[in-house]
Amino acid sequence: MGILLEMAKEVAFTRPRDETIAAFEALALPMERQVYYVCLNMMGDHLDAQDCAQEALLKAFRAFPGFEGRSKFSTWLYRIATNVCLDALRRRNETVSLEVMRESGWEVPDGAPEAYERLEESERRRLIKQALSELAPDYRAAMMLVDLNGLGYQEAAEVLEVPLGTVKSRVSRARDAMLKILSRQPELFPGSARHKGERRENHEA
Amino acid sequence: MRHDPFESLLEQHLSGVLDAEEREELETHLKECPACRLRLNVLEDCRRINEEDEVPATFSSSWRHKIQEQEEFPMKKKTPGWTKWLAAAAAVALVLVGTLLTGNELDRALGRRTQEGAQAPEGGIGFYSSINSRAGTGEDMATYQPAPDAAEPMMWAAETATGKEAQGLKIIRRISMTSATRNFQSDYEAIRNALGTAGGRIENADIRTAGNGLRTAYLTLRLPADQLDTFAGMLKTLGNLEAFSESAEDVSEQYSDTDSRLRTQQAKMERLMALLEKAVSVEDLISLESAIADTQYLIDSYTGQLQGIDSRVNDATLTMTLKEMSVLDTAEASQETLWDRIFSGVSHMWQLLRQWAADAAVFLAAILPIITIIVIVFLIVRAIIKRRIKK
Repeated sequence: MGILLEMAKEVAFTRPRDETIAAFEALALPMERQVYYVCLNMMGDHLDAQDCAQEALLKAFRAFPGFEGRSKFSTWLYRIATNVCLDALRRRNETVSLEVMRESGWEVPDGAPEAYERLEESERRRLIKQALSELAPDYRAAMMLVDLNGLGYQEAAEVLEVPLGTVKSRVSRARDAMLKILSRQPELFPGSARHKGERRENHEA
Repeated sequence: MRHDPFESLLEQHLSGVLDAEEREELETHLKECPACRLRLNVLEDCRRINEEDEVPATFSSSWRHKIQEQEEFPMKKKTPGWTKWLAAAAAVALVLVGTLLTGNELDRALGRRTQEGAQAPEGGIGFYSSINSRAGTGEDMATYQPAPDAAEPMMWAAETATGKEAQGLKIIRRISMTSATRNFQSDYEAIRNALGTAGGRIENADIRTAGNGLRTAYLTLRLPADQLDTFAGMLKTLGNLEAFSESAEDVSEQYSDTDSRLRTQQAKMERLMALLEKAVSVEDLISLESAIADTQYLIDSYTGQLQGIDSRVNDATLTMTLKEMSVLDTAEASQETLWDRIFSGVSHMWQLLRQWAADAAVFLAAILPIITIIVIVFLIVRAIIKRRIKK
């Protein structure tokens, strides 16, 4: 990687346009799937994902001569893609309820783990994606990098440009929130707490 | 309810680095804690969330097209302010004068370049055409690689890549190139035919027509790694090669990591199977079955990862941008029109400009040590002056 980076930088500074493009492509092409998936997991649908992924790669290309190799190219590219998505989400101006992130104290409803295991894999993925889109963007980004893309905490911290401890706490809270959201899917978790609670209330009434 | 010690065990389990004791601890806990079981299942599904998501086939060519269409050339952000401009002007003047003064000297010393005018036939008319025809036959390439040394690390990288492969290391090779051609259709066919002979396939092909009617093909080709060099060599002969870049990613470490994890799980599987034969109680059978299922899952996932790496190592990727060139670029010297001459005049100036840029780069590199010394002296002097002022 080191040699390649040196070559790429040399090319970016001294050679004509086409050489820069080729050098950038050589580094970015192995990453394009990951970039796309980062955007897909952040934005939640293919249309926005493609827009954001393209914008990210274009931005990266424009900034390429300024890329100094202080972080890995992949980390740098993840950072640009994540920021493009966070900006796009801000523009979209969706209000995400922070309530679920703040609540503490929560029990897994009876039967929920078993019900989850019985679900089809594609159905489980759909539920996770749904829950992911309900997380606040900063938390979604942290969980996306660590749990979906399998980055280490250290690298995720470099991508998000926040301290290591912040990433760890965001990931941890995002996981809790995701489990909370998942266990509130009444049709999928027949024994969910809310159901039981309602039933109990009915009994009392 | 917090499960901090177990959350870290879960994470280690997901990255496959638990030893037998820790694993037992985790399994015991999972049995009695539905919350952690759910958490583990969800996190495992998270890792594979995108398995069913296809990246749109047009995505690759589409962003590459956008980059090609970029009007503004990527530059470092300039800091405004007249002092910066003044400094920039001084630097430019230095390079300009320096290159002019030393450039010819250097060339003569190296015996590298003969006087260009000497090769032209008599009279002014033939001058540009002779330059232009030279440009078509290799001189073009030479000026695209201003410093001959610049090509060396690239060759070195390629050599070590093939050398390493001989030692059984895993190298993923990629080549990216851009060529301009006037025989777009026939060259495109030639690429497809050669690809067939090399045993490769087109992963993605996208042809776009620009406003001026000229076409550009964005190709992503996969072919056996041992055919890559021959194939790339053949592509270089089509049209004018404008850019070429090669990368070799060493994934040996990743491969052997995954491989050893796979072996661990396989060994564990054997032990579990042996235990299964001896098991008597239903309870034992159930827990063994569940352990076997987990292990099988890990074995499958590691095997899949290894196959994925193998396929990327065995099949190299070549991305090619083939641009159609206007016939204007290819005027024959014998039937020169006014336009041809204007065109070759402009392209000659362009050649000179690039030559000059190359010279400037050499000059800059040459004076770097001197500049370093000046900066060091300046810093020392400044430090001394500051100290005096304090006193």
